[in-house]
Amino acid sequence: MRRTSNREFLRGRLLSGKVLGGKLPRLGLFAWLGVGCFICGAGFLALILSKSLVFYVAPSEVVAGTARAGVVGGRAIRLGGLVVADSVKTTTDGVIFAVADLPSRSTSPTNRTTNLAVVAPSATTLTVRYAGVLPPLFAEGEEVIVEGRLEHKATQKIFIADSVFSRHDEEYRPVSRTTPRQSLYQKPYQTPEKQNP
Amino acid sequence: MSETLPPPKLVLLSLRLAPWLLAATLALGGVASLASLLFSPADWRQGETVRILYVHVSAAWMSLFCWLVLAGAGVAVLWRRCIFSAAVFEATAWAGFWFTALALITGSIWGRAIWGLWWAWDARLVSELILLFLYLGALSLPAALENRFAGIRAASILALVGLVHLPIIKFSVVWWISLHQTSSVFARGESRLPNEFFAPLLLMALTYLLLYGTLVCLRTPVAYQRFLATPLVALPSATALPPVAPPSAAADDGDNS
Repeated sequence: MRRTSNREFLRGRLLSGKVLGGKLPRLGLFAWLGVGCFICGAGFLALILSKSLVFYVAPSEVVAGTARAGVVGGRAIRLGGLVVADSVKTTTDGVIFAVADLPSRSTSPTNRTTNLAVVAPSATTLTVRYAGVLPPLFAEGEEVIVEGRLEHKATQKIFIADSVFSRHDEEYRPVSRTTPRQSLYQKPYQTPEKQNP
Repeated sequence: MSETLPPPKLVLLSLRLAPWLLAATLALGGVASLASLLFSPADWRQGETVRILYVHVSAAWMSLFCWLVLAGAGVAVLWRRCIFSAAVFEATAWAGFWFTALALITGSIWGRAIWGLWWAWDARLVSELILLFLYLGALSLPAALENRFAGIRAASILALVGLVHLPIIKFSVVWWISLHQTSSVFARGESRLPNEFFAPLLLMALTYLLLYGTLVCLRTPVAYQRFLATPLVALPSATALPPVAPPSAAADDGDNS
């Protein structure tokens, strides 16, 4: 007689409906559900508590050296923030701009429409240098994601970017109804050079 | 066995509804397309790219909605052992899979245009991708087990456990620092999506809902027929069963003529 392997036995059980078929007791079913929910919930809680699901870190965290997440690989860091007003300059080494922390996610929606106004003059900013093509949405007062590494030059910390991406917030507005106050800070897209005449 | 056969009236009803739903989908789809392409203004920052919003957000909403329906059908399958619900389950899983895929593809195109990235390992993007895999699981479980109805029961458990994932997708952009923006329509305070954008989105979402109805009405009778053709009591042999039995056999089993 042929010996039945564990796998074949399990397959037989599955096929005959003894595991998930008709003969599963009702309590067993809810136990299954309970175990599934428990595993999902526990894993999910662990994810929340570990806060490991962070796509980018703030400039102030990078400057202070407290950024534990956001490491892309090796020394590379993913930085996210606001492009500071009047900070974009084009040099022979590429474009240079300052990035400030995003306004807190807990701030009221009205604060979020005037991103640039939220950046206080005393706020920690990080200078970024990037030689490459900027994304279409790149502008002062817009959210930006920068991948690269921090370098110390004398007393200054400068962030050398390998790539720059945009982040789009949840604000939609028809071109025709852009209010003058916002257009002061956030112009419809122009090339970065033109924004600092 | 305590299988309760629902009246085949439901199957006949869905067959009768299908052409009307299809016509309604095409009509509303035409209006929604015109609204999205002509009526909708350009966005102040995104320009014309904003039009991807209508296909993307609707598809993403439907991907969540289909899983809710899946869970509802799953309860009926597990509790009442309802074959019609099993057929609805299968049809919904297919629709949900394609809506999720559409949300991911359109999102990828939008991301390339706006972020400069086709893909990122972002909380929202990854959780939506996991939903795609969950749909794949719900689709492949019935096919993996020899007894199709037992497979649907297994998939129903997956659908119920998978409910946990829906709030994770929905709030992934709130709980974690993500690349994907937070919701504009359900934002705190006022909506961040002006009516000029919201109206075409609503039309498109309704079109998708009708499309879902059409797909379910077209596929459910086929799936129902197949469940009847498949013996509800598992066979001990591992030989593959014919996918669809002759109509006479189905008519005998389910009084569905």
